[in-house]
Amino acid sequence: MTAVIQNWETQRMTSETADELALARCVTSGDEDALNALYERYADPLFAFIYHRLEGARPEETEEVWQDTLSAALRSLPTYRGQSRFFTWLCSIARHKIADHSRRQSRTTLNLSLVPPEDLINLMDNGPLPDEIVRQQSTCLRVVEVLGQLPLDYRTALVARYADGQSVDNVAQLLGKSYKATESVLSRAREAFRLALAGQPEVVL
Amino acid sequence: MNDKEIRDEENLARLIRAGFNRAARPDTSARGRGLRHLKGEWLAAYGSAARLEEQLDPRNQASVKMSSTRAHQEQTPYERNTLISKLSQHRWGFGLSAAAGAAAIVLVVLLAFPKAQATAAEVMTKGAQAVARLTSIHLRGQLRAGPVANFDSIDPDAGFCTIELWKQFEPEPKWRYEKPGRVAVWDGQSFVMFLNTANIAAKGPMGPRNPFNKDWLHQIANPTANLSNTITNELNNAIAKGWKLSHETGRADDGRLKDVVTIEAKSGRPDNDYLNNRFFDAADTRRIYVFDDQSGLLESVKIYLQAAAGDKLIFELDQIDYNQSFNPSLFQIELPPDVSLFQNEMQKLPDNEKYASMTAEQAARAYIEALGRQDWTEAEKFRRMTIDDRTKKTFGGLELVSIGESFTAKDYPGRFVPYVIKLRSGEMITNNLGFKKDGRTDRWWDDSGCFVNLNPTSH
Repeated sequence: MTAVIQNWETQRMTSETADELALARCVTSGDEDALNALYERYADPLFAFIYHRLEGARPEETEEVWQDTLSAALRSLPTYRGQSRFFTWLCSIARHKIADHSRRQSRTTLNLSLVPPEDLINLMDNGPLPDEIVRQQSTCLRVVEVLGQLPLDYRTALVARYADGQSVDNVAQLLGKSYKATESVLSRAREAFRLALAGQPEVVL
Repeated sequence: MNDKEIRDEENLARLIRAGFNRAARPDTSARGRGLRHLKGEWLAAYGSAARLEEQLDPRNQASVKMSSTRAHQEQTPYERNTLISKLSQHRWGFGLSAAAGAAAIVLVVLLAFPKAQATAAEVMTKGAQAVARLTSIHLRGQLRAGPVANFDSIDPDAGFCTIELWKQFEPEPKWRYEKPGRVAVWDGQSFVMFLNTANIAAKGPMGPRNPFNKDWLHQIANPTANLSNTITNELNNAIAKGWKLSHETGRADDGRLKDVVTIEAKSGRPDNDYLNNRFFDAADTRRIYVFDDQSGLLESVKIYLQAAAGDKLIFELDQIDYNQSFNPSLFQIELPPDVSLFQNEMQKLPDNEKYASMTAEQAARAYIEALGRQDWTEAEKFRRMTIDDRTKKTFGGLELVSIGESFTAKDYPGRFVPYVIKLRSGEMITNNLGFKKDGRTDRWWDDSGCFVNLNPTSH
């Protein structure tokens, strides 16, 4: 069964990468809707990635690096070949921008992982996660990476329900779906999150 | 849900809260700045030429594309290093990215379009740049529409009512939108709308874009947009959709030179669609923008509905005040204690299935007949708000004359049910009831406002 799930997951990832490549191509061919979709999908998780990497930075610094990353990614879009997930590609650009920024600020403190992120899923299976692990930079980055790669409606539902504590009714309104359909989206989103969390991390921490 | 599942969900919630907490997400302003900046750069890099190529006459496409590309290769680097790059360098300036976007469009228009269109685009670009750093704006005008109708509604047969918008851009976006029968505010955190004649309100954390996303004027109420974006969007739309642009100059009474840009906007909707001419964007219009030649500032706007019988003025923006300071109380509404609140969520009924299985026609009949019987409890099963006294007085005791076959309209996520009723006063009303299905309860609900606005003449 596990093999079936892994196989399905691999196929799904391949198909998603193809979709991401197609979206990127639409942006470079002048499709404004595609640009909006790209921004809608990746702007927030990219910001979160930079926020956690620049732990302790002022909000203006986070925003500046975020803007620089978006600009650089846009300019480099023709070079995206779909060889990795689009968000992984974005994060690699962000890491360079963060490094540039840290050099300018003479900042060298980047917290390193204490718990390998791939072990999170095992920890979750063994009881409540200790607070210190939940708060770790590596944990936060792993969560952002996973959320950044989920379909937009899954991420929207999970963030609204669990990060913002909204009721299922409100999430339904946000998604423009019925209550039942939203419960179903949430269920599938939780499963996708768990599956992605169990997978090998693509973002090098 | 068993213990492990509960624990899993708790763990999942804690992880998501840690990774995607509020501080780790851009706020509304930052998000808007990010998108504006990205669009400006995108237009410069990829946007304009592609869209122009799409809308060029196929007969001329090959030759124009070639000359446009050649000109683009020869001249764009120079232009980018001057106008666009300079604008983009100020990316944190409110609206400058929009102006940069407009500059990118005008560059291509200059290369590929007749001089009059190119000049019009230049004037629009200059206008977008002139208002790129606003701290606030106040607009006042006249609109042909029912005084209580939605802000984006138009009604060519109605008289004019005043419409007014105040928007503060910094330090955080706030706005107030007002017509005689309807006022809405966004205080930066939450939205309140009040229909004073019906004593009905809607409030909550709902996005402020919801009521105002239809047309050019209302895009200003979008917290991530300002007048610069609005002008840029108008130009952008004109280019992308192939609308005719023209330019004239004239002198005002005081001798100042004015630039007049006219845009012939086409809705592209089916000829017989029910919602045609009920919204700005659902109508073919001639839009006249007047800019001061020296400052580039937008001074007035007139919009005419284009019809076979002749053009008719439907909107006039005759007062534009820039950079005023507003009293914070402007962005608050004190609601009366007895106000009826619009319910975001309908509740399931014990016999919900009975209503969920109704067709739109059956539901309309049940709803209208309940009003006739003055059975308010039954009638409220088809509404998202309670029935106020004025509605009860007007529609209580009505007689249902006929119900027709329901129909749809482009972009409307519901159905319209034709009906004829006779009020107790003897007045006959023929209209269409807008009915939407609630996703949670699967029941039809009255979305048309025809029993709310109490303004049958406007329908």
